Amino acid sequence: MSYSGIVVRVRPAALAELAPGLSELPGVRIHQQDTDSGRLVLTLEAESVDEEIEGLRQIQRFPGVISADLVYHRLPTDTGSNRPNQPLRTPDSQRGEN
Amino acid sequence: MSITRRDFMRDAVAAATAAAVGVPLTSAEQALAKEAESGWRWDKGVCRFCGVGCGIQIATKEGRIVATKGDPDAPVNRGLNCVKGYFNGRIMYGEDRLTEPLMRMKDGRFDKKADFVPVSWDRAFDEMERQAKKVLDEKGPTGLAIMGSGQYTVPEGYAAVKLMKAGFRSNTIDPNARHCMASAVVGFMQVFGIDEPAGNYDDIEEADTFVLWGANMAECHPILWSRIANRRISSDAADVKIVNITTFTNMSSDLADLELVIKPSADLAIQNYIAREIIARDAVDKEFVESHCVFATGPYDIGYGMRADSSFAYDAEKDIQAKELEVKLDRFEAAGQRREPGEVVKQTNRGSAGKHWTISFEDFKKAVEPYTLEFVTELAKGDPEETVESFREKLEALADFYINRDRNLVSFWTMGFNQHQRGSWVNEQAYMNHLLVGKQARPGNGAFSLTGQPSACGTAREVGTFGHRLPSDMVVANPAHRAKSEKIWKLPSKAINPKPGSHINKIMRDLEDGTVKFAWVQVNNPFQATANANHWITAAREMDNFIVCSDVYPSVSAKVADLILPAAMIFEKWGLYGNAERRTQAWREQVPPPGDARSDVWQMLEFAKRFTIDEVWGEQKVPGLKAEGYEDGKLPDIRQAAREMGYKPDSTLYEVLFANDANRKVKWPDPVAKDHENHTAALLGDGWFPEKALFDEYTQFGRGHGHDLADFDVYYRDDVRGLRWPVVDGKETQWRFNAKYDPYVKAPDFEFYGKALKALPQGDLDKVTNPEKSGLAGKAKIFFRPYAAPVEQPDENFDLWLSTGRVLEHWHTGTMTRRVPQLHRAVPTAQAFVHPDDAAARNLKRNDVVWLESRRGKIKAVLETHGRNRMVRGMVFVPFFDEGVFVNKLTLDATCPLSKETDFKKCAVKVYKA
Repeated sequence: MSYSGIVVRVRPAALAELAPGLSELPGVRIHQQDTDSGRLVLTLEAESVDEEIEGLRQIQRFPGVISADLVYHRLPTDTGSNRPNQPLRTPDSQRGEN
Repeated sequence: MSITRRDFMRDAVAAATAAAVGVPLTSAEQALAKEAESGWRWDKGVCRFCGVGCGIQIATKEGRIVATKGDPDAPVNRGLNCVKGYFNGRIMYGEDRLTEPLMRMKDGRFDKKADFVPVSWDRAFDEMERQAKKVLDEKGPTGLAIMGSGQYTVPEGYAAVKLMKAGFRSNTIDPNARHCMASAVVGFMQVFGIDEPAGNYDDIEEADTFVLWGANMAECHPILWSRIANRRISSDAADVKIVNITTFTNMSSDLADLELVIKPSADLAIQNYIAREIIARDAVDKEFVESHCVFATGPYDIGYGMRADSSFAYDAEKDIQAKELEVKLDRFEAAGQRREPGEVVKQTNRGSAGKHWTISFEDFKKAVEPYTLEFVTELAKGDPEETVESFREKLEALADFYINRDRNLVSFWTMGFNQHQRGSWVNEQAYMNHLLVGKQARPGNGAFSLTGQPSACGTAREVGTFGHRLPSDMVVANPAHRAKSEKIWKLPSKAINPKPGSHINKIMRDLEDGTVKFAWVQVNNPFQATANANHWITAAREMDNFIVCSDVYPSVSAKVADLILPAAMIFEKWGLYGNAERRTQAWREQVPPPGDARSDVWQMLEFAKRFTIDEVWGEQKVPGLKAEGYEDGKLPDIRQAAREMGYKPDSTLYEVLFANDANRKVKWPDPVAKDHENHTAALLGDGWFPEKALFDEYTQFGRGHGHDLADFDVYYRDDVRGLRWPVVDGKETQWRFNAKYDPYVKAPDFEFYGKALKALPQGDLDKVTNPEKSGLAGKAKIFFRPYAAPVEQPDENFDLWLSTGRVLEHWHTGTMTRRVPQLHRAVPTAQAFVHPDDAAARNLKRNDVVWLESRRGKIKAVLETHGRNRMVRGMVFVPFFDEGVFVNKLTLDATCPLSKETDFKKCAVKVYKA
């Protein structure tokens, strides 16, 4: 599991109205709301980078969100390895092949 | 994980996030954040992924990266990261990370046709040495090549240049940055006589008009885009406007106030329209232009950077290739060149494309005269569904923005300009309009070239890892520059080869025709990233040559190589990068490289131990060498001169170039390391600090010449987040050429003090009329360049334009970002973005698997008619990150003839169901 801290910016006047919807996005929790600047601090919990990216994208696409930027990323510590490599296949230079 | 633990983690992450962006915290929250990070070591670093150069902080624990965050003190990004920020930490931990040297072997011997077998470093270097010496003997030094990168750290690039140019006396080293910003460099050198931008990112907060020319910043430079968006949305008083000039609607259009969808290469004509309007509306800043500028032009018949003969061309390629030698002008080209439509023009100046001369303002005015609103609308309108009236209004509005004296205007561009068959011209034109209205080198005003790679500026350009360059804007063809480099490098006179080496496209062609037989790929993936790739893969695999690839993951280039060397990644080594605003930033080694992976510096230095000066500094043949003092076409024997300098015949290149007396005085360990390791120094084991010694040696080139860098240790200070050069008396420079900010300016207001190409003959629009050169000290050049049509265009057979580019989640060729296991599911297989009508006309629908075919190859992709890129009819876009969809098998290897940068944006394809 990984956790990222995201700062979202909305128009200050719209903050109260938008916050409930944002908090319902998968993996998202709102921690702080700064009504003066229109900034929210969210965390996103995700199983994978895939989920993280999609999670951040969902926030960015949320109507009324001006920007959503990644600030803090706590990595999972149980993934990745440095196993011996599998035999490599030479790319085919034949035309008509990917 | 218990709920309590998860809550704890979330609250701690939230507290740390709030702290990073300056949202106030309670003392309980502060304590929580601290507790969650207990036992961590934080240190500053730089994002690995693009030329913006965002500062990050990296946390490590027990030799592993546990967290990253945007650096709140970094002026570039102010605590924020884009989505690529997820990868800085994770990128090292992919499951197929290369951790041991692999060589093609059979029965214990190297065999080009065999599969890869793990070997020791000693065995790997033994084979490299054997192969390199064989090639040196057979081909001379230029038979050896390095394909380097804008992802080199400064010390890596410097070591590579010195090894090749000072050690092997070969200039056959060129970076993939050639593909990225060589046209920008030519623009800077031709216009200002010195490389790199006048302005910087602070312009964003000072400007009220942003014009994007072939730069999808929302997708490719999101943090800068965030700053622009912030300015656009939050500024109360300023009337901030954004213009997006593009060949299709992209993510940057969402925020744009004005979008111009144009035909490929029409940017050349639009720039001339703006210049014509500036003159017609009497809006030239006469005082600025008369005091600080001259007008210039050059030849138009310069070819397209393709091979001149067709002996290596596929049959299907030969019709386009023939245009390298002569071209029939269309009516739009003919008008700008004052010729007749249909006239066939021999490309006489394809070998001298960069020559130029001064012209009068009257000639300049005459040259832009054909580019009227009507003419350019007809030429440039890219969306068949847009009305002529609508496009005309947009063009006029665009000109208004440049002309309005109350507007501070910044032009940004990236690959749309640079990867262009007339990329150098269109770069020059960007300055043309900024100079005409005096909106250059002032806060909030300037033409600004963005870059794609993290150290395309700081290393590839400034260090000079190009075939023709030496450090700090010097070039091998200039005898004074060679002499200066030989002095700093403590080399005998005439050590450096005066013949410019092959550019990276040509290194590929050299492999194909057997001119280069030993190539070392470093920090990049050229066999995927070079256009017309089928040729080069075949050349690598089927010609008698030896290809070494230092890499971190099994990229296409690793897989076509003969020997793979496992490399250390960014935070596994010490390094410095230089970003697009001249900011040099540094980081320490944070974690050890895995397995037997080693830094590129270590690899080059170990290789240098294998060659004595007696072996490489004898007389050397250099095919095609023609230079004053080299009438026999050979590099002279400099061994006796080396002896007189105190070198011994069996001194190795390692001892002479790298671990010499001066550098050995820079000791490892060093207090600047705090408690950080240096695996490079430890493995070399002879007590010096290579990255620091090489960097501080390199700074000798630029000091006092407008390229001043600070000392190595300065960049590692806790209170420094990079410095923008020139750094003079400890102070960075925000706006160059402007007396208020730049200590190099001696004039009262502005001085374009670059020294290159500042003595010119005079002429008219077609030719030199007075060959006597006169000096232009302190001046910038306003170039006239005509519209030129793309060399390959859609026809009956290949009926659609193909453009390539990036998507946000991926960078470079995806060898790093695609490694993170789930990352590439976000954009699973490259899509071919097509207009719905074009799809329907071919009986295709969204998500169909289709063939894309050009004269050069064919590939499969998934058809996309919606999504983030919205095509105009007639245009296809395919991202280039995905080796499963190898788009460079389709692309044309035509380049800008001045910069030799490939045009990845314009070729012709057909699309049909697979």
